[in-house]
Amino acid sequence: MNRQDPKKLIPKDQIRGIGRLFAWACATMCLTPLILVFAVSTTQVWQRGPWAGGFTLKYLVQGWNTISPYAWFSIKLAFLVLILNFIIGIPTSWVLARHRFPLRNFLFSLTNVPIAVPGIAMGLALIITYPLLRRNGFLLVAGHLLYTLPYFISSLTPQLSESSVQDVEWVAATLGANFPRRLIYVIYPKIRTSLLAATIMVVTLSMGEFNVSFFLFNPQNKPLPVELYSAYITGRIEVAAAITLCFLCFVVPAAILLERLGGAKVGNA
Amino acid sequence: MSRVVSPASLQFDQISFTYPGGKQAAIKDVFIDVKPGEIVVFVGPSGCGKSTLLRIAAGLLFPEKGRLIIDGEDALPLPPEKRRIGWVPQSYALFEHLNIAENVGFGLKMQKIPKHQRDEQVADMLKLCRIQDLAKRSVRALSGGQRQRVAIARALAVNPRILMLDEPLAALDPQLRIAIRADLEELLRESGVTTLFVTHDQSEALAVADKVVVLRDGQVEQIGTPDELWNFPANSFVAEFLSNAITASAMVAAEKSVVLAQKLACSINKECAVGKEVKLALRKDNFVISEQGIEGRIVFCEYNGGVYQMRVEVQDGLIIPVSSTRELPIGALISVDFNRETEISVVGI
Amino acid sequence: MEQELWKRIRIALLSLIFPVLLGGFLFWPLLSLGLESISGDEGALSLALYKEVLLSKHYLSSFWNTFLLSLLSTLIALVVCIPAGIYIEGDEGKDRKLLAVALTIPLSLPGIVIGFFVIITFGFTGVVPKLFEILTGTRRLAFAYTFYGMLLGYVYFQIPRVVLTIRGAVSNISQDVLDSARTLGASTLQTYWYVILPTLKPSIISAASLSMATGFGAFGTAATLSRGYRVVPLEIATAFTENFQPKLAGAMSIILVLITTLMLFGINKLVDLDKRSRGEGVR
Repeated sequence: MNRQDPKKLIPKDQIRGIGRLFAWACATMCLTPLILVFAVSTTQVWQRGPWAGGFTLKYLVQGWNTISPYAWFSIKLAFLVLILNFIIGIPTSWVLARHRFPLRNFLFSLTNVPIAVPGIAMGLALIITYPLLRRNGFLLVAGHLLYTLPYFISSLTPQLSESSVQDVEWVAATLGANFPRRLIYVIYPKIRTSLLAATIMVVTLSMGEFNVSFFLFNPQNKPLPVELYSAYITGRIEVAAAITLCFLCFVVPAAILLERLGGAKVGNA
Repeated sequence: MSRVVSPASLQFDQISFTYPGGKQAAIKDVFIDVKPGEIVVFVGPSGCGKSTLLRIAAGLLFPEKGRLIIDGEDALPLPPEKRRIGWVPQSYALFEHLNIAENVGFGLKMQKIPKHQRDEQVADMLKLCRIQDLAKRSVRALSGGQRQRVAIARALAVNPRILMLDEPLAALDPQLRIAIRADLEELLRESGVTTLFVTHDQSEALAVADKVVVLRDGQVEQIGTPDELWNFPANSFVAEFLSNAITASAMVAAEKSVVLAQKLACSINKECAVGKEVKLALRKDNFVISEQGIEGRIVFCEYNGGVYQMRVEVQDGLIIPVSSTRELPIGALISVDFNRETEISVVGI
Repeated sequence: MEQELWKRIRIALLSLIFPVLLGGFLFWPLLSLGLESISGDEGALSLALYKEVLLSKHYLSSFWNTFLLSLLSTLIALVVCIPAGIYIEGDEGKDRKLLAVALTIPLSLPGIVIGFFVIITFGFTGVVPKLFEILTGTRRLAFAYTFYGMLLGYVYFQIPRVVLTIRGAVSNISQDVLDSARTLGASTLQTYWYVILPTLKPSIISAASLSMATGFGAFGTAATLSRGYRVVPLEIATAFTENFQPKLAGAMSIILVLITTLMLFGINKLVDLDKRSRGEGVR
């Protein structure tokens, strides 16, 4: 009997092939700059080419020294925004997930409204309306909050409304657990992963936020991306790259972790 | 209505298949022969490989060994779109972005049949399956039974030489199942197409099939007509699965006869040497409740719509299945006798 | 039923937190921005600023540039990401997980960083021009600060988002449906054209609308890369920070917000209406 190789007989999918090609092209395009940033930041004289003049860490050191105050500020800001997200976002998600009331759908649409508003418009509107609040950084926090809440709420609401979570909670209730206990022992463990993903998302979004911050910062309250921007416009390219590398070190591992946890959302250009 | 149908024959010739990452073979050396126009039912417990066989026949899975012969030619090199078969999965897989008429006409469109002709054939098919009122409707608004008919209409519209149905009735409400089953069988006979029908319901298999293939763990246990499988099961698994039989052993007392519980003489379906110990499959139609007979105690009783299925424990711990139209309490004593119009099947020597 | 009432009050209070925040920090500011932009010098209402924006060649060309960049980057991203997304969500290929992670990393990068990437790749001292110089003697492809540089930046930005949306939609297509299509005689190409793409259509449309809206609002990338090529967000920034014309900036902002909101909600409404008219269910 003439045996044919089965693998050759399985028809090849040309579109998959194209998709694979495009996916690789995109991935390469997206990731090569990361390597390049490393190269630029460690080259003595970038103008003459990659690693012309030798490998050096001096720009990295210089860069880190320049931006560390702003990095700390961004981190503090991100965590403040995170806490506010928890305070405002969790009750809102809860109400959306668990209750049916007349304007529920309207509220749900409302939570997506900030996405439609470009960051600079938001920033400009805030500054013109509350010029006095700019000084103490209040507006900055408000801007970041508005920017991150939609993503937080839209990733948490589906989790809370999932029937498996509700069923387990209801069983716990019939077994005698009151609400605080149910929250701690039943609900929290179930949504822990999503909560972690939402946290990472809010922190990364806040740390990378530029469009709104551009109008709302002041010299005492300057987030990292705004400082990055000044470096791009005025600084030496090696230093700019070094600063970028520091920024990436914060943001890229968090992004990978986020993807692993299964929740990735998008931010503004 | 004239339908140009040339039903094909099909053979699975020593087919073996293992799922990638699977620890054991899903299909082992299966040989099945299907004649043109036959309705062949693959039946067996979950995981026995019946759906896998269907997918191999459809070209969606590729066996590592064996040949698939359709109408005399090797079908394995053919991709699914060239095998000229119809395949209906358990989920029906209707195209939600098309309406019913477009769903049914999909295969014809792929064959580039001109619209005018296509519309005619679609209308014919909708009438045959009695869903002509649904033509313009969207898929989402249909009931389970309607979806099933659309899925089958869609598969039949391209005049397949073989039709493959994967658990077509499983997704329907139980009370509808028997009525729809009758409809389906009528449709299949009318169109005359060779049909491979997968089910896990043994009563369905016996009702619809020309030929039944009983599968377990990827292997064929027995192939035969429903009658053959009922009266002459090849082994205890087939007997238990198809007819809910209870296995027991007894010694052959005389030619084609055994004595159960030392008192009840029963005929068996095979000639065996006297004195030999044989394994038997006791079916409920083998026994009746009667004054003459042996005494036993009811250990199990379940209502099954019109009759009560019971199990009676007689001497030596032997359990005998029997049915009755009267309800009798568990623990009561009754007498059961062998039904002389039947024969007990021998399933092992 | 005091408990019922108490529950209702609780729900009302909880559900009002977000709207209050939104009202105070988004709606009211936008409203006052709008009012500012239509208030003339003596307090009378006037649309002079809007006229100035919409009728001047300079600003109109900014709008046109912004539109062009958004449209082209959206189209390129769609053409590239639809096959890529289909591949990643498929079930064959060991590199899919790696690709998925690789394409998610840029999601968290702000526009300015992407602009910087374009600079170090295709700027005056970028890698590619340098390579050209080494190979051919002349520096070529240093287009970072031109339209093409910005386009590249915008495309870089759109790709991860579009891929994510497409992946989500593809994962909802059942394998049974694809297998059925094949057994009905559809070739690979036909399966894509008649089954996969139509099923993806709603997601493609919403990805496109989000993409266009984001492109219109993109500021960071433009700020880093633009040397003379004007887009609306840049005009707004310049009007405010350099020219001290807050009202003009406000007018342009309002127009921008109207455009992006219209794009996002308008297109989705159109998709819903289209579905309803074809008899498909709308969630």
